[in-house]
Amino acid sequence: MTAAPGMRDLAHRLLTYEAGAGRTSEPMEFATLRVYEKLRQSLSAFAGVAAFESLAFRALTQAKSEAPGLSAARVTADGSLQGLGEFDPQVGIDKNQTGEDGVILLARLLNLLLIFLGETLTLRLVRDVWPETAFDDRNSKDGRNA
Amino acid sequence: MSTQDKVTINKLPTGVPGLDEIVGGGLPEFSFNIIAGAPGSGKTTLAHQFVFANATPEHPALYFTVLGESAIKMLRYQQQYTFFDPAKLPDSIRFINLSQVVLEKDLGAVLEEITKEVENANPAVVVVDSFRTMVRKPESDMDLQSFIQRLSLFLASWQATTFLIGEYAEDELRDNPIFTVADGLFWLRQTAERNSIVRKLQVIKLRGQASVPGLHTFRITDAGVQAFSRTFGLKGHLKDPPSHRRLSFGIPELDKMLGGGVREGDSVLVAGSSGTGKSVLATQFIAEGIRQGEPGIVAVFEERPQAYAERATRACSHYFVIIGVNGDHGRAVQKDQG
Repeated sequence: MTAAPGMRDLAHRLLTYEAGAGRTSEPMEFATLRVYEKLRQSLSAFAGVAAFESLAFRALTQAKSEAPGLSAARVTADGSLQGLGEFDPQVGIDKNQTGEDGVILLARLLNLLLIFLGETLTLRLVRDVWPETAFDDRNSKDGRNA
Repeated sequence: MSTQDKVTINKLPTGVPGLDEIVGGGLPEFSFNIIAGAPGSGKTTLAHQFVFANATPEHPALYFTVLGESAIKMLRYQQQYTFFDPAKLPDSIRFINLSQVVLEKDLGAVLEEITKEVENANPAVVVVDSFRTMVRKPESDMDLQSFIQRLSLFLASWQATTFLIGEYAEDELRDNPIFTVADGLFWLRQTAERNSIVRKLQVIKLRGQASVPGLHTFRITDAGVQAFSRTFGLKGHLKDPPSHRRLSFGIPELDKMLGGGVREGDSVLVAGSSGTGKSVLATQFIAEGIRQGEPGIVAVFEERPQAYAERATRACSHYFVIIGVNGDHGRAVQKDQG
């Protein structure tokens, strides 16, 4: 089972937004980490570090089954994400896949929020972190306001 | 002091149907309140109702969660209530988890964290759920009473109306110094009475205004907590002056013995052993009222409603109609149109 399409789309848009906020030459995992870190800060304050860490661990476990490139990634006790972009040589993942891996991980995390809180509250929490982003515009391609 | 010299204490709606009447019109603004009770007694739901009724973007609420139920699970369940308005999150209502501070530090650090958040948000309402779970370390720098004292002073100066939620058992009510700090103390109980669970709410103290004393029944439905004042509340008043009218039983000899019937407004106990005609007498009284153009209500506890209505209709030649208040428990009777 994969994340709900809406959450995958949302993850993609957040990733695109954060990628646009960084340097064009930086690896895609930097944008993934920025999105993840912003969610971690916000959700840890809201629900507690332990609650976020549990959700993130579960999301990563689910994502690994879909994205072998995340095999080296791990969630630490404070909920931080480590090992993203590190690859197990035996797995041999193409580095170009990292953007897609990030989408999968973030979509899984958002999907867990969706399951527990429902769409309205999930979108409100996300909007609180990225108030400048137009999430209501489902047709937006780049996820940023003009 | 004359009325015009006194400070005006604004009253905030509790958001709990029936509770405003019990507390004399609403909760005093800037008051420091404790909601106490056993697990599952409705403390968090009551606090949520107050928060959702009062929080606005200009006057936001801060809801601190400590150990125990995670905010995610709490919101998962609380959003099932009809009063829950997701549009209020996070601009009007912000949830902040303090479990890490509690686990790693002491009460002083918890107070510091609350202070920081309050200074940032300038909230009108603050809830700490549950403050009892903060007392974990015996070597804590501040004891709970001191913590609450300082928290109370701080939040009052920030013009916040505050609720502390705590799990307390019945026997902890007496001589507990924590409760002396509070302006308002609300005790929620759920007790077993034979096979039923009865929920009761008591306003043990409320500074600044009168409240209806005693135990008030409440229930928790899809709409949250709903309280039923033991009396008609402080605002309740008689519609009309006491009546001297007598109401007939429809039994001339009995009416004669009673000086014309039962005095209007009286409560009458009809007692007797099984089969002596208690229900028949009561039904005749209702039927006579119908005949006089005065509808009545019969609450039936030990018989199926339909059977009662049919028997009453046969006995009194009047049409008893079930109007069904809350399922099986309400009965109304109407005059036979036939």
